[in-house]
Amino acid sequence: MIDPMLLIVTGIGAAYLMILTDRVSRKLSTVLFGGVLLFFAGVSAHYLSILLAGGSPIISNNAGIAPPVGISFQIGIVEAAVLLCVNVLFVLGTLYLSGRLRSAPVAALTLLLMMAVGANGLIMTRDLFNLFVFIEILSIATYAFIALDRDRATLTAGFKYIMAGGLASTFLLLGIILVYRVTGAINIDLLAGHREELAAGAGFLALFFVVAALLVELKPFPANGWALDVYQSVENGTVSLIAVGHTAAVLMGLYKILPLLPQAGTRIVFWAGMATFVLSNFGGLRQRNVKRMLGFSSAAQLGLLTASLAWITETGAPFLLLMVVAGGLFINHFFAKATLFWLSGIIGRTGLNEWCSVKSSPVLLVSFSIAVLALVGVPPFPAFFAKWYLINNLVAGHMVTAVVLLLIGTLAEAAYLLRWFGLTVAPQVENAVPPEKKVNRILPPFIFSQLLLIGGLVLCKVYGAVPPLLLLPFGAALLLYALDILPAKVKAFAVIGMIAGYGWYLIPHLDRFGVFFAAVFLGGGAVVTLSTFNRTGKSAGFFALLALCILSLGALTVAATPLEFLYTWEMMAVSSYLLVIRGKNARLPAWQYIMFSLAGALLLITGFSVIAPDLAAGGEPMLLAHFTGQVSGVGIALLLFGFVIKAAGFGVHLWMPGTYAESDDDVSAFISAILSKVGIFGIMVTLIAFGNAHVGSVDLQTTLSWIGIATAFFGTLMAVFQEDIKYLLAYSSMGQIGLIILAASMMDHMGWVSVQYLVFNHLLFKGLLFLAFAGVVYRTKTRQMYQMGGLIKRMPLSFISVLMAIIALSGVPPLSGFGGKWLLFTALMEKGWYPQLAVAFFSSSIAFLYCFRLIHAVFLGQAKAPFKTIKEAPVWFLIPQFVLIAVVMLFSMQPALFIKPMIAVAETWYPSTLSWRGATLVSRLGYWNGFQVMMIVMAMFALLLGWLLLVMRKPQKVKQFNIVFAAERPHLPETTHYAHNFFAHYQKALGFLVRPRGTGFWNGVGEWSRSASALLDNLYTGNGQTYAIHILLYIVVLYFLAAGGAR
Amino acid sequence: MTLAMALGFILILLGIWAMLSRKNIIKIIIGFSIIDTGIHVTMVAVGYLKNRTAPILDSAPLRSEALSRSIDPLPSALVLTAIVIGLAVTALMLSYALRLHRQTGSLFIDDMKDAA
Repeated sequence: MIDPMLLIVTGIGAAYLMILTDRVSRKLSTVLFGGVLLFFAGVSAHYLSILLAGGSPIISNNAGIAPPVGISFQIGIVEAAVLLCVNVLFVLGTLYLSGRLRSAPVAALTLLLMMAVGANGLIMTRDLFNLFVFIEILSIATYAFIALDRDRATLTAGFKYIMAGGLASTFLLLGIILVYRVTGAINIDLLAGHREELAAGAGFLALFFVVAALLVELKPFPANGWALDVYQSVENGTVSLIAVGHTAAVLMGLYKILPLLPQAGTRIVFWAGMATFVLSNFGGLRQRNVKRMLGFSSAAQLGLLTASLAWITETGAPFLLLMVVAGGLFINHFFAKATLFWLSGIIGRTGLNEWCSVKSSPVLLVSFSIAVLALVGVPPFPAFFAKWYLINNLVAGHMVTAVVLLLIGTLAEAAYLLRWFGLTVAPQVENAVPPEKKVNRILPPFIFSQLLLIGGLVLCKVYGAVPPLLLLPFGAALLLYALDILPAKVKAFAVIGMIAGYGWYLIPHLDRFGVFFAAVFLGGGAVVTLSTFNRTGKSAGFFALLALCILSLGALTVAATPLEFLYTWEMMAVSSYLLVIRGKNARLPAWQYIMFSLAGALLLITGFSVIAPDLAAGGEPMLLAHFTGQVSGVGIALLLFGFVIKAAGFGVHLWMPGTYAESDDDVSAFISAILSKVGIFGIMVTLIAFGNAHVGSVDLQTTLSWIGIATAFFGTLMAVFQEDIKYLLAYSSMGQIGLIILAASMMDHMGWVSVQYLVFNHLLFKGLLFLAFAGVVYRTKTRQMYQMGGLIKRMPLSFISVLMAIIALSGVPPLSGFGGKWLLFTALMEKGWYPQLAVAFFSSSIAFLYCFRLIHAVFLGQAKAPFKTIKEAPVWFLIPQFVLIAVVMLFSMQPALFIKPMIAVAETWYPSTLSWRGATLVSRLGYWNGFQVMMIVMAMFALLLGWLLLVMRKPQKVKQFNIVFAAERPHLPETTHYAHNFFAHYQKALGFLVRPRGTGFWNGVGEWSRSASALLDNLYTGNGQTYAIHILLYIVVLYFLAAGGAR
Repeated sequence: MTLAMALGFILILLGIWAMLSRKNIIKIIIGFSIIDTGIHVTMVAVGYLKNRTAPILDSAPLRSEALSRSIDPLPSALVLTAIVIGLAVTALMLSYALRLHRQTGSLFIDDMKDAA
């Protein structure tokens, strides 16, 4: 075993020796320097391996003298892990800086080594004064290292840093000596025996000074202006050492001292951390400088880390929680922030919209994406698990305010990080200056981002919470990404194969309800994937994401515990976001989409925690089976609302139209036909597992039904007034999903049969419509309906599929939509929900208006000149359409084939109210025979056609622009076209209903957040003295709050 | 609370006042030095015991009765380290001041607002 003291001795020894060896040759110094850093990393890895193998903590007394006289080092698992992280950071950080170091004086190497020594000592020591000494070694070396750069902004920032650090040290030293005066001890382990003396009066003040000083080093809001300036101005390689290495060591100091604080003290540290988390994230919202923004994010992450450490200390939570929550947040912040600061140096730009050169290399792009997504806290990265368990634990401790703050802060952080991400990766931004590509600069961020990924996956396994079944989608995505050089068609084929394989693999794990949704998600996904055969080129990364998204949807149907569910859910959300953002103008819609998704997911986490904190944390199977424990109405409401967001319910639908419309065409089809059902799936899962409940006097079932109705009504109405074909289809989906929510809320047999029927039917016709119009848009290069017209002659096959689809949509016989309407309305009548029935009937009737327009404006009339010669849609768009048409026909002619299993599924929970007489479906109110209806309608159609042919012998043709203007010149060319503003008269009558109030509200939220952010930003004047005053006031205010609490 | 300790606290407060109110960087640094001195005085005062001598065991009687005749040696040991560290920080701040003056031609703290 290597004595930990040896690390310090070799470090300091080598630091001096290097100055001498440099006289001989720089190479010698460099070898010495690198050797010592590698030695540090190796030794810490060795310690960690011993401890992980079950060894007892390593304790070393300096000079063999035990405390209280001597100083002791102690390395437990936590210390060893942090040591390893920090030492690896120094190795890679030095590699990153090597270009600069080569031309720098040898002092630079000495200072770096002293920084490493300071950090290592700080992590290991158990002596308060020794802690101070190591903080000073670390800080002085850092100040001096910063000063090697003679740039003006760097120097001023460095001076502010010294002022702040000096002030913090003052309090630290004063605190330590007062602690000694009160207790007569400065060893942390011995101080644990003096908790009484430290809990009040002078003892508390003394200990408080120590804690406050460490807090200040951790950049709490608002006493962090100096840190933001440092992050913004100092060279990136150095910043990454400061932002993660320095803070990791100080954090360990806090970790060791927190247990000495009385409860009131830890509580105040907790709130200080939470306040920093929320306010720093708000501060970040308005930043345009990447490095400053990352500074805000760092401060926020440290705030959350501090808060979680304080909370865990205060509640005496088990070690596992410490590892998952604090450890997860730590690893996440550590690796992600270092990666991003390093990348910042490679890109060489600080503007939020100047990072698109990241895309010039897959290595950079992957590192960047991993780091940003990890910070946002999506799976499989550690922060996801950390936040899950933290929310869980806070809910169990009834810390409602803290949970709300956590959610708001998380969303604010996601907002600015993902805006940046969008600006960087979205395809429309292309003005990149190619970044420098030196291996020593690119390697460190790449390694760190990979460690983050691996770390996350290892954590998935260590917690045992995510079974391999659910990790398979991710594996599939990785495999496809590795095979990215293959042509698109091969990869598309591979995706279909994977879907089939995964489906087969899932079958034994599915219950009946799962079978239905797995069929929808995977089967539908496979059919829509056919359309991606139309892609040419490589579509880099696309198929990996598509596979991840579709397979995650499948995995959702077998997720048994809330954690498994959320894990898969977020996988699906993130992969679909990444699919959406590939669209040409999808940057803003994609951002809205992921923001609403994340908000929904956070509500889900909270909801699960409220319903059953221990179950949610423990991993007992509870989904898709009736949950028997005491259920809280608030919890169910949170879950339902979270799922309604995903289903684009009325009021939270803002994200939906843009997302559907601006995605690539094949992605639109997938999202609308398949992905839109996942919200419904969630609602069903909630209702099945937890049933109905009340929040106060509000009945959730009825509320949900009205949300469904409102969604159906307004969605349909908005669809009527769209000019853009994809927006029309998007709003139409919203309307249809509204009806499905209504059906789900009925919670009876017929209602749930309707849910399945409508889901399946919507999948068929919306897939058809989106694919058909994908072909049309592909050929005509426009999405405005008034610019089309007369396409029936050029694109007859597309016309047929649109015709089939709108018949199925509108619910007229003979196609399958009729059955859906029949089931839904019958169910509503049986339930006695007449008001809902009335509105549902009205809104499904106005759906005729837009259906008519789809056919009329696009396919009928005369073709415009540019479209006289266009071709039929590409064959790869047509194939899936005709697969879908075949299913529609089968579904319409032989509905029994499909409805019987649906009835059986719903029978799992409610006795059947439907029966069969041959092929006729009988309810209490009537009966329906799909085959008969089909025959009758076809006979009527044939009769009418015959009559028409008989009567219309000599039709007169009217030219397209045969329009007379009464001395009035149209101010826009499109106003000459009959299809423009098609429903102007309805707009006059009903338009007031669809003024975008929701958009106004959400814009208000954005505006308010930005103003708050600006207000916070005013605190930071750039003046070192102002920052010093912030620090002093911060400590004083915190003390009075803590002392008030202690009394 | 002894007189020395009170004096130490007064010095600390004076130093903080200087650091916050002076606009010249050199004066701010002097403020820091005063704070340091105040802390050092406080530290020594914490270890002080009435009617005892320094814990330098250079004579036989002191060596045998160190426990009852010398003051608490620990703060004295700590203060040495603290003085050294204080010196290093002061030196570093002064060299920063020098470089800043070269770069900006000013020692006025309000001129140092580059970021933000």
